[in-house]
Amino acid sequence: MKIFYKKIKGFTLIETLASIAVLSLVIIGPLSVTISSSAYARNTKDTIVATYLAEEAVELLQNQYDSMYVYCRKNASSTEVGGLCVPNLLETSTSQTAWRLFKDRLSGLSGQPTCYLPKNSNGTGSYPNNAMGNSDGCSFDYLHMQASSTEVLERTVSSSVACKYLIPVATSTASTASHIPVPGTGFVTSTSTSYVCAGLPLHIASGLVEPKQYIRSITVDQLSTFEFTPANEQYNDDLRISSSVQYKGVNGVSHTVKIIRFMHARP
Amino acid sequence: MKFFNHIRIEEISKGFTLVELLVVLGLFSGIATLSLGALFNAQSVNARLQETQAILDNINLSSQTITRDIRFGSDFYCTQSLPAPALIPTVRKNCVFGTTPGSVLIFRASDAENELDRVAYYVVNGVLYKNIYQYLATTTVLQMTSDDVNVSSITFNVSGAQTSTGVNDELNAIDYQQPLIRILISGVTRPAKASTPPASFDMETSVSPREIDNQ
Repeated sequence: MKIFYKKIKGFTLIETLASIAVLSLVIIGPLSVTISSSAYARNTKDTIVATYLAEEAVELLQNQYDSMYVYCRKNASSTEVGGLCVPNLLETSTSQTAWRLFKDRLSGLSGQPTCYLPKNSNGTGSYPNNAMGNSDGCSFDYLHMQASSTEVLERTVSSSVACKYLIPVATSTASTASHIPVPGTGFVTSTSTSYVCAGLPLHIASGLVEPKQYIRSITVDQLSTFEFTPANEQYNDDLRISSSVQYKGVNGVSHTVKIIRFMHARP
Repeated sequence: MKFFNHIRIEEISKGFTLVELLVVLGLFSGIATLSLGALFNAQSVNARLQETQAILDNINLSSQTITRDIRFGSDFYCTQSLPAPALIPTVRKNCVFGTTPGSVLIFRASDAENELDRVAYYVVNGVLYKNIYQYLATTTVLQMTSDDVNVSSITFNVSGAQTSTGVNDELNAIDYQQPLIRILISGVTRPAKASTPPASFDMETSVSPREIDNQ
């Protein structure tokens, strides 16, 4: 009689190990997805903050031009001290005069400070009730282009040790020639300000607070008009505002949010 | 049939040895402990994630609404407390940088039917509200953020709201500036479990209305 042996084997250790490895992979996979999505959520948070800061820069510039316009509408005659808003020969409206003055200040041309609001009648301090302005009447400078002591004080009061408001701590300003061919005088003005979260730079220096920096850079390019009369060159041009905010993400990776808006003289 | 009669099939079943079983059980329980911990952790991470996402969505959405309303609004009045509906001011008032910031912003929305219609933005008990005051008519209260997020504060700084003649200003003060409204919004999550630390969110932006300041 012939006997056949049929072996029914159990799992070997190797098989078991392999199955456990597969099982752990299955568990670790979704886990790592969860963890990375938590990093994404934190990045989303920073991106939102940075986007609003970038938008803010554009709004501040628009506000400077509009303020110049409001000011000139009130003072469009030569009775105003210094005759700031007296239109030149080419200008047919107050908005054009304001547009010229705004761009002059932006470019730092002809000895103009890089701020946009006029001084008051006796030449000192900001114009009456432009209460945001610093002693040069620079609303924009005061707020976001310079580390003004008044500004820091105001925010020190409202900021706790916990990361709260954004404080400008350092400023650099650079003007270079435009890379875009501009008839007449071209300019690129870029200013970057470092913002830190949590108030006092002292807190950061002492290690009490981890600095969260948002570095905002604003670049203004003058785009030439396609029409060629002198008046159009001066008043039909566009300003391209590139506002970018740089921040460091969760694992130290640097991210940048950049927005671009165009500005044009009001009709 | 005949063929199978003289064949015997012998089955030899071999199971685990005790040692193998012990090793496998040990490994499995080790990994199970680790992965269970990780799973629980993932659950709490997920909960925190959802809470953070909720506050991001809420604050981002309401900031968009506020900035859009302000951008097309006019006649800004900044104050520290919400007046009664009958006393909603229709004049203007600054709260410039360096002075007490406002926690209530009242202004005329672009879709106002009456010149004296106003809207107000304010925070009460961690919820952001928008009130619509129709002149001499009903007041509509709109809840802008959901209950599961805690908007701890909204702060406004308003400059340039005054006119160049002092008309329509609460203090008859003047300025020559286009209005500029700076908004700071802070919020924290409301964690479902006490052990989860709340996540906070702070954002800042400024808005310059599009309509040129009149007078």
